[in-house]
Amino acid sequence: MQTLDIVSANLWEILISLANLLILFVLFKKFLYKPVQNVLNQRQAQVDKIYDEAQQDKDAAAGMKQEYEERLNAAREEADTLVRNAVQNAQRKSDQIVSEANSQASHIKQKAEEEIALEKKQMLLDVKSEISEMAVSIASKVVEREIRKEDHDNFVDEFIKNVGEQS
Amino acid sequence: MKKSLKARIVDGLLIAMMVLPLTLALLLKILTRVPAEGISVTGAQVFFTVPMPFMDMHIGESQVNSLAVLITLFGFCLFMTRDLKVKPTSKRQVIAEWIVETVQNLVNTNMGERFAAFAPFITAILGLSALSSLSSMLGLFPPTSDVNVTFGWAILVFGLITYYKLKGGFGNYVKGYFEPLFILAPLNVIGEIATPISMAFRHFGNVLSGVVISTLLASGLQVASSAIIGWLPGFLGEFPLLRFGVPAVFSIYFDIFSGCMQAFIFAMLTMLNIANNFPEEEYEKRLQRKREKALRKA
Repeated sequence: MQTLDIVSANLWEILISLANLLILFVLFKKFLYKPVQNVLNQRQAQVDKIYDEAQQDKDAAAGMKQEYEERLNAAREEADTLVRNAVQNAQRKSDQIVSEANSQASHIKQKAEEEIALEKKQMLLDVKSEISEMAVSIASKVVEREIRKEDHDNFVDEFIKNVGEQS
Repeated sequence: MKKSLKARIVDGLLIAMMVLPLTLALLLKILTRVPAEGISVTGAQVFFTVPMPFMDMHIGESQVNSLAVLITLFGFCLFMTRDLKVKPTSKRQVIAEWIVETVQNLVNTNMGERFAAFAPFITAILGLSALSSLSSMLGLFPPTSDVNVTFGWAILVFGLITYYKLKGGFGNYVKGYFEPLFILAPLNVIGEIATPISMAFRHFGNVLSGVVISTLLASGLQVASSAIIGWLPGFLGEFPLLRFGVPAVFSIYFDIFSGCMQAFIFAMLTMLNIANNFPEEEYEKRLQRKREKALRKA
């Protein structure tokens, strides 16, 4: 069997080798790169989709959070105003009650003072007349004579006056 | 996950497609081997010759082994890309994706995004060259130690370089030969032709040198072992004691390292030559001019 020399150029063998490389290139492109790149692209698309969804969910959650916070703030403000109103009302009512009570008390006090003054007057009058009577009777008994009514009255009045001044 | 019977059969067929061609090539070599006397390094054996115009076409070991490598790589492709899933469940899909992404990255970093479509071509060069060189480990004639094979690839690369150079306009292409001086044109032409020749001969020479050294080593070890145990009677004296194990150590360099390295170098040179010789500015200018022309017409 024939063997070639170590270095032997042959046009057709060169072309065969060239064709081999071209064929292998086409095979690799069709059967290795195309399917693998397809799968890689699909995976990339899936990953992108998942990321998009996650981003959307995140945005939605952030929106919801904001909304809840707004609502919470509104509720808090409402509660605050309610409490404030209630406190104000209560304050007003208590003020009213206190002032009413005050006026009533002062009224009662005034009335009581008036009554006391009246009674005092009355009592004084009673005491006066009684004392005068007593004095008259005592005097008449002591003197055993009739004393003139007018003199006597004057005398008693003077006496009471002195008593009143002393007491 | 249990595979179905059909999937197992297909897998088996694809593995056979990977293993059988090289096995058959080896069988062919064993059956047709011409026993050589002494140390002899020859080219490929020719199985038959086809008369063609200009010169006869030899169908020899390098062609048969190239075809075997081609079929093996095709089987490998089919095997790796069987039932790909978006969520990878098999090791082979992970490996296939790793190969694709690694070569794609290599191409993108060395050639730029514009040449991203070159990835399958670079993979083809890497696979064909590496497996061709590594086939010598089976005892086959490595097709890359035939200068015709590497020269065929280099001519294809040269064609691609020229094609991309011409994208900058034919005038610019011709002008490029007369730069920087008019007198330097012959040198430029030689330099242009030297690219494919140097690429082809670098690859071919490296693999061939490995073959030559392996042959020398084998015969040297034979002499050494007969010197050590030659005094033994009969066939025991001819026993090639040192040829066990020792060549394997050298084979790590000459077959595995050198083979893979040359494949990588060839691929690198292809990428760099195509990308560096591409006249980017002129190409952009031409595109701009064409767009303006189209606008004026419209």
